[in-house]
Amino acid sequence: MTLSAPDRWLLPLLGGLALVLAAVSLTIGAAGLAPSRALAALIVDDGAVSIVMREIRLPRAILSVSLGAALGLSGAALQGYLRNPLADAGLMGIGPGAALGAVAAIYGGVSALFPLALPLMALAGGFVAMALVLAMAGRGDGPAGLILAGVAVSSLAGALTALALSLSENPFAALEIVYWMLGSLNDRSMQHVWLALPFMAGGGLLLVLAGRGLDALSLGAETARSLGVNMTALRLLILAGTAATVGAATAIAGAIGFVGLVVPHLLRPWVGARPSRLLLASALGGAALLTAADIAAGLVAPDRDLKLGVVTALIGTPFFLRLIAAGRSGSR
Amino acid sequence: MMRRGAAAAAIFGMVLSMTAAARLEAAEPPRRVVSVNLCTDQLALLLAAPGQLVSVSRLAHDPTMAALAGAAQGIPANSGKAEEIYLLRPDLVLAGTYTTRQSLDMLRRLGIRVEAFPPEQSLDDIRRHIRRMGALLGREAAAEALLARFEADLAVLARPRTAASPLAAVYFGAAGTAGRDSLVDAVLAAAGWRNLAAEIGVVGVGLLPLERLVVARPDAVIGEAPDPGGPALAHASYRHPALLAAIRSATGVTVLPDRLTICGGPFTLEAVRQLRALGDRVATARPPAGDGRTAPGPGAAPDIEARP
Amino acid sequence: MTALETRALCVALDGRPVLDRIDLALQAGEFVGLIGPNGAGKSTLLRALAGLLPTRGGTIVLDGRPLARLPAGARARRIAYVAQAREVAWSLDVEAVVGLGRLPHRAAFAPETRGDRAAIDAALATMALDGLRGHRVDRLSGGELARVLIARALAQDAELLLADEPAAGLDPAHQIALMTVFRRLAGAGRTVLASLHDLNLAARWCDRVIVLAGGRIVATGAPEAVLDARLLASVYGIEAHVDRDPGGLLLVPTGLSARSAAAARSEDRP
Repeated sequence: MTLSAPDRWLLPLLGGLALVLAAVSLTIGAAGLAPSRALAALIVDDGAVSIVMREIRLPRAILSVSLGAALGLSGAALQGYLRNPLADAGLMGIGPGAALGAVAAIYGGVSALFPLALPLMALAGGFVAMALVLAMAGRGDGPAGLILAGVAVSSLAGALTALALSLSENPFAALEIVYWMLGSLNDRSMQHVWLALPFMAGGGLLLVLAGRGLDALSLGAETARSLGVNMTALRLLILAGTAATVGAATAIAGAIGFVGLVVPHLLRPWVGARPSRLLLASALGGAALLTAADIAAGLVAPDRDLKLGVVTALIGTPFFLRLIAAGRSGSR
Repeated sequence: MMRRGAAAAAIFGMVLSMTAAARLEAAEPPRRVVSVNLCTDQLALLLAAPGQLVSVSRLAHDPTMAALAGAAQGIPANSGKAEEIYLLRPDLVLAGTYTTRQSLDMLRRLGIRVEAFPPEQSLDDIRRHIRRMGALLGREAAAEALLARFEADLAVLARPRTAASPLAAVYFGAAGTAGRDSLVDAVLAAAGWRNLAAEIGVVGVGLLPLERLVVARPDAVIGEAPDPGGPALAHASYRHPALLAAIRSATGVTVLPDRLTICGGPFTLEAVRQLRALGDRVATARPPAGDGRTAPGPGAAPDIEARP
Repeated sequence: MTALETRALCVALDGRPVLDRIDLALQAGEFVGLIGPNGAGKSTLLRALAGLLPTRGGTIVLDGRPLARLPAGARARRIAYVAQAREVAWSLDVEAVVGLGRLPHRAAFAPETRGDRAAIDAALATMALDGLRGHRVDRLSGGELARVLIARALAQDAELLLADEPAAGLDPAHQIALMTVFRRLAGAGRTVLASLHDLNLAARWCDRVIVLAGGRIVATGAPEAVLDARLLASVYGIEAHVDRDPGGLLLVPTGLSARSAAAARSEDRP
C-alpha cells in the first residue's frame, strides 16, 4: 500500500523523455528532410536546410518544451494552491484572460510598435482574470465556487476576445479566433523564444519558490500559517507566477488547454502527492506531453496547421477518463 | 379549415404568379440591377448600360479590394442584407455563390430574380462569366467586344509554363497560399511561372508550410499587400527570419495587389503583366548555369513590404 | 518561568466580540487544559495564542516579547498548533505529513537534515505510528489521522504546543496515551495548552485547567480546586457526581441542572 516517492529516477526520466522528444520533433516537418542531415544542419552550415533547422524547427522545439513546462508547472502550482485537482489555467480563466490581453496587443497594433507589449499585456490579462476568479470564489470555499467563477471569467474573456477580433477592420482577424482558442506553434521564430522565455523562466521560478508554502497548505490554510507560511505572499507568488508563465505561453501560442490539468494529475501518485515535488515533475512532464503532441500533429498532418490544443485534448482526454475511472475506487 | 386552406392556396398562387412574372420580365433586359458581391460588381460595372446598375456592394468602393473602385464612384453601396436589397426594388440581383444563402433565399421567396456567380478560378472562368453577365444584362455585344480585347491583350502577354519556367512561391503568411485551381495560379501560368504550392499538391487556398518554401528555394516570393485595415496575426509571419532568408536568396520579390486577384476580369491581365515583368527581371539576374546563388548573408533583412 | 502571557486580550470574529479581556499566563513545564461549553471561545483563544488572528485589544507576550512582533518563521519554531479540523488535501503518506512539521526549521530547498530525521522518527514513535509510516493519510481512520496530525505538531519541536480538541475521536486507550505524551512534554519543560471536552481527562491529567465561558475566563487553577458541582452547574448547566480516587477527580455528569432542564423543556414546547 505504500507509495514511496521515486524522485531519484522520476525527474531524470521525465527530463530525458522531454529531451528525446524535442530531438525527435527536430526531425519532423513539412519539408521531409532526412533526420541525419537535418540534425547535422543545426551545427554545420547546409544552406536552406540549416535555415529550416535553425530558424523554424529549433525555435519550435524550444517553444514546445518551454511552453509545455510552463503549462505543466502552472497547473501543478494552481492545483496545489487551490487544493483542487480540477484547477487549471484554462478552466480558471487565466489562459483566456491572457489570450484577451494578447489579442488586444496584436490587433490594437501596440505589439507592432513595442514587441514587449505582447507578453506584458497577456500577462496582465492573465493576472486580472485570476485575481477576478479568486475574488469571486472567495477564500476557502469548496471547489464549486471556484469552478463557477472560472467558467464565468473564461466565458467573459473568450467572448471579449471574439468581439475584439470580429470588430477588427482586418478580414483575417475573425478567422484567427480559432487560433487563440486552440493554440498553435506553427512558424514561430527565435524572436518569439526570446520574447516568451524570460517571462516563463521568471514566472516558473516564482512558482517553484511557492513549493514550500504549497506543501504546508495541504494541511489547510490555518495550519500552514502556524507553520510560518505567509499566505499573502504565497497568494502573490502564485498569482504573479501563473500570470507570467501562462501569459507568456498564451501570447506566443494561444490558449493550449489540458496540459496544465492532466500532467499534474498523472504525476501526482509518483511524487507521493507532495505539491512541491509535483512542481518540477509537472514542468518536465508538461514539456514531454506538449512536445509529443507537436510531433503527433506533425506526423498526422504535416502540411496542415493542426491546432496543438486539439492534439493535447485528444491525447489528454483518454488519460483523464482513465484516471477518473480509477479514482472512483480509491480517492483522489 | 376550408377558409384557411383557401387562403394558403391564394398566397401560394400569388407567389407563383409573381415568380412567373419575374421570369417573363427576364426576357426584357433588367432595368434595376443590384450587385451584392465584389466580383459581380466588377463585371457589371464593365458591362452594364448607364443607369442599369443601381447599387453595388460596399467593397466595390474600396480601392484596395476593387480594381474598378473608380468606376463604382457615384453608384450607391449596399450591405447585402435582404431587407435593404428588397427596398431597392431590383429586377435582378447579382450575387456570389458564397453570399449568405439565407439572404438569397429570402429574396427569391420575395419573387426577385437572383443570379449567383462562383468565384473565378481560371482564365476560362473569366471568359465564361463575361459572356454570362452580358447575357443577363442584355449586353451581349458589349460582352463580345470586351472578350475580344481580353484575348488580344492576353495573346501579347502570355508565356508558356514549362518545366524550365522559374519557380514562384505564393505566400500569404499564416493565411495560406494559392494552389491549383486558383486565379493566382492561372495568372502565374499565363505569365510563365511555376507555382510551388500547386506542385506540392495544394488545391485552391491552402497552407504553404514555411519550411517547404525555404527548402524549395524559389526564384520569387509573391506576397500580398500587408494589413488591409489593421494588424492581424497572419502578417506577423512576414517577419519570420526563415522567410526573410528565403527572400534574400530569391531574386524576385513582389506583392500582387489584392484588387487584381480577388476577382477575375480583364483587369486580371494587369497581374499577368506584373508577373511577366518580374520574370524578365529574374531571367536577367539568374546565374547562367548551376547553382551559383550564395547562402544568405547576415546583411540587413529586406522588407517584403518595401519591395516593389 | 512564564512562557506565554496575555493581558486584556480581546478578539472579534467578523466584528462580533468573541474573547473579552482575557488575562492568562502559561508556565514552562505546565500541561493546561482549556475547558468550557461549545461557543465559549476555546478555539478562538487557541488560534489567537498561535498568532493566527488579529487582536482587537490587549497583548500576547511570548517570553517577554510581544507575539505580534515575532516574524512568522520564528513564531513557528516556538509555537506548534494543532487545528480542530483534520484536513489533508492530498493523499500524502504519514511520514510526509509528519515531516511538514519540520518546515519552520528548514531553509527553502534545504535537504532533510539528520536533526529533521530524528525529530520525525521521534514524533512517529511517540504517537505509536511506526507501523503506519508509509500509509496514505486518506486511507486512515479518523483516530489514526488525529494522531498523525499531533505527531506533525510534535515534529515541529516547539516549546509551546497549542492543541484544539486533540482527544476528540480517539478511543480511551489512545486518549490516555495522548495525555501521557502531553504530560511527558510538560515534564521535559515544554508547555501544552489543549482544549478538552472530556472533563475527566482534564481533571486527571492536567496540571491546571482554564475554564472559559462566554468569552471570559471564569475560573483557573488546579482541577481539584476548580472543578466542583457548582462550577459545572453554572458553566455547563449540568448536575454531576464528583468523587475522587488516588488518580484524581472523577466527574460523572448525571443530568441537566434545574435551570438548563427548564430551558430545555421550554424549547420542546411548540
